[in-house]
Amino acid sequence: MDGDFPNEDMFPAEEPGPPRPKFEPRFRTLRPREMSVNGAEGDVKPRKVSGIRTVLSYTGIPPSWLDKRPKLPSRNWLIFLSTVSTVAGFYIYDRQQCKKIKREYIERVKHLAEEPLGTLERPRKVTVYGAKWPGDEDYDQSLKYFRKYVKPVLVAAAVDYEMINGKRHGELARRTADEIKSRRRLAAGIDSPSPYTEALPTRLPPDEEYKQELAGGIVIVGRPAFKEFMAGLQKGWSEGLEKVDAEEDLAQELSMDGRFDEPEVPEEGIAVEATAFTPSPIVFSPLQHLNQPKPAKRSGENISSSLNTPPSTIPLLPPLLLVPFIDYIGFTQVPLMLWDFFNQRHKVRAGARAAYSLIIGETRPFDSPSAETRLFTDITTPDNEAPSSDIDFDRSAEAYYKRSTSALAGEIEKARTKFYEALPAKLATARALARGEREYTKEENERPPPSEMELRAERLKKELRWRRDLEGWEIVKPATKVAWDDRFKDILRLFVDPPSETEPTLSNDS
Amino acid sequence: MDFSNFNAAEQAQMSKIIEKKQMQDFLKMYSNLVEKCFNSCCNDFTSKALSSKEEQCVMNCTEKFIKHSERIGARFAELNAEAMNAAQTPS
Amino acid sequence: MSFLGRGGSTPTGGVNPERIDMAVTELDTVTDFFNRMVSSCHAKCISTRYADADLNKGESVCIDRCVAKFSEVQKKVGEKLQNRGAAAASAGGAGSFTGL
Repeated sequence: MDGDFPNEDMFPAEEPGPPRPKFEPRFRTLRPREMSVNGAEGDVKPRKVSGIRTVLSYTGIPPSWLDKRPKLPSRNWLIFLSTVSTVAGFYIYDRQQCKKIKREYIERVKHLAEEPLGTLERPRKVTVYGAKWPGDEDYDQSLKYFRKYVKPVLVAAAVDYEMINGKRHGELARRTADEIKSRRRLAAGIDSPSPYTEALPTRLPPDEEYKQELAGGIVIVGRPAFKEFMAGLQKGWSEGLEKVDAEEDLAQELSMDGRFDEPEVPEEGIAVEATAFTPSPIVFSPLQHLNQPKPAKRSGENISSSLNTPPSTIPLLPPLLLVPFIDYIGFTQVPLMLWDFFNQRHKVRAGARAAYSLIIGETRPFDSPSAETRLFTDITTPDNEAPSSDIDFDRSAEAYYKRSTSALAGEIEKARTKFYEALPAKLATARALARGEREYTKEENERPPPSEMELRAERLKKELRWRRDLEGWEIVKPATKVAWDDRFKDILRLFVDPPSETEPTLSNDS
Repeated sequence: MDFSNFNAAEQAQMSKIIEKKQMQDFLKMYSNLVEKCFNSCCNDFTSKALSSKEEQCVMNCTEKFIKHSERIGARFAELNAEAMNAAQTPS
Repeated sequence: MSFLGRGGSTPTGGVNPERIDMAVTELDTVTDFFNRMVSSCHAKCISTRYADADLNKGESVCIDRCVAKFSEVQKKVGEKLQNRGAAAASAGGAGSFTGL
């Protein structure tokens, strides 16, 4: 017999006084008997086990787990998780779309790689030109764009390509001009093709070669490359055909500049002494006698003026594929870089579309600028006023150049003055050491100062670089118009999107 | 490999040597090709005779290899010519 | 390709065995190089399914590039070995070759 615990025996009978509340224990121990399903009162909630819980309750999962209700994580966790998942979602979606688009375009052109080709025949070949973007020390950016977005489709279609880069401003223009001149020389008969190339079994007659070239194409990535290409085209077809060694000419010019002359020894004391010691007033260093400026050596060739004059018509060029390209560089463009990082699918689509149009090969004539267009378009005219022609390809990209690029001329001037200020001191040490007027000091033994020859070579190198950079910048800067010649009117063609591309049935990206 | 500085007797001897080497090279290539085509084409040894599929495969293999060799020869010659040009221009 | 120099003068009308030997060695080297190129490019560029007797465009382009890359590798390896040889000679150590 188990009475209620505690039983009344524990508590004595009520004493007189204010009524005390009856002791009611707050917690009541449970006896197994009392664990009933339909218990009337009590702290135990009736457990209505339903559905899956009946099964799960036998699996050994702790019962408290079955009672848990779904609960949101805390506010801070929510913020964190939502931010991270949004960012990750953007990234993953973008890269998935990139892969999908690339795969789609590759599938479209893959069948072209299955066609047979004779053993001595060559596949179709395109030349890709890329130039240095102003402000970016990495000169490879435009070709990197080509390699990442345009090349995969070309490779899938078995179209061969040759990449030509311009590492500094103006290099591409010079290279194009030199190529054109060497071709003109070959065509005019001044140069003859080398015997080894003639003996090859794969050698084609020149017109066959030319036809194959026309079937190929030229890819130009970005507006700087376009400007340099056109400038090179103009230079190549407007200049004479003599072989000019630019370094040699510059060396001649610099040697007559007088920078390496001996400084005048100040005349003091007796005239006799003075005449004995001082060099003649027209200062020429003894070394300069050895380095007499020779007359300009033009390799002794006399090209008749009939061959030398630029022709009035230019042979047709292979069709051009103009690929728009912007290189984001600089601190203020970091938001653009971030946007670009999450939206690469647009670049993939643009690049693949360009490659596809090159592969299909539909062309249209270049929209040459009229005289009015040339007169009025430059960077200062607002776009809606100026009549646009193909010559304004990707002009909006020039708005993205860093502001510091326009200061190039000033920077080069500063570097020049600094160099020439430091030069006489170095020259004096070099000459003094060379003539044995004084011994090497300890520091000079370890790190021998540059000799006069080395100083001359250094000066030549620096001058060459500065002049070329300035020339190149003159071609590329936004204020210069794209070089144009009336002879170019009929020789240029552009690749266009084939009609199937503009159908609405194609998949669109968001 | 410019044999123009050699006189007539040397050239005659060289051409004999070259002929002999070409024959040896051809035989080597032949055995190499047989092994290659066999390894990649013939995988079913349940029968003694070549099945038509295997025969077709061997034919294709031989043709392809010969064309492949031709193409590489052409490219190689171009490479050599370029190298000769580059070596000649300083002169 | 003619990285071996020409040496020895020819006795008049006779045959100089030295030059013949060198020419033969050079010929052997070039043939070996060519054969290796053929087998490497075959392994890398041509699938073994042999569905077709003709080379298709993709394979042709692959072969062109394979040849160019192979010769570049040959040049670079040759330069490297020459530099090492020169460095070893200048350092006077003959044992450096075993350290290859």
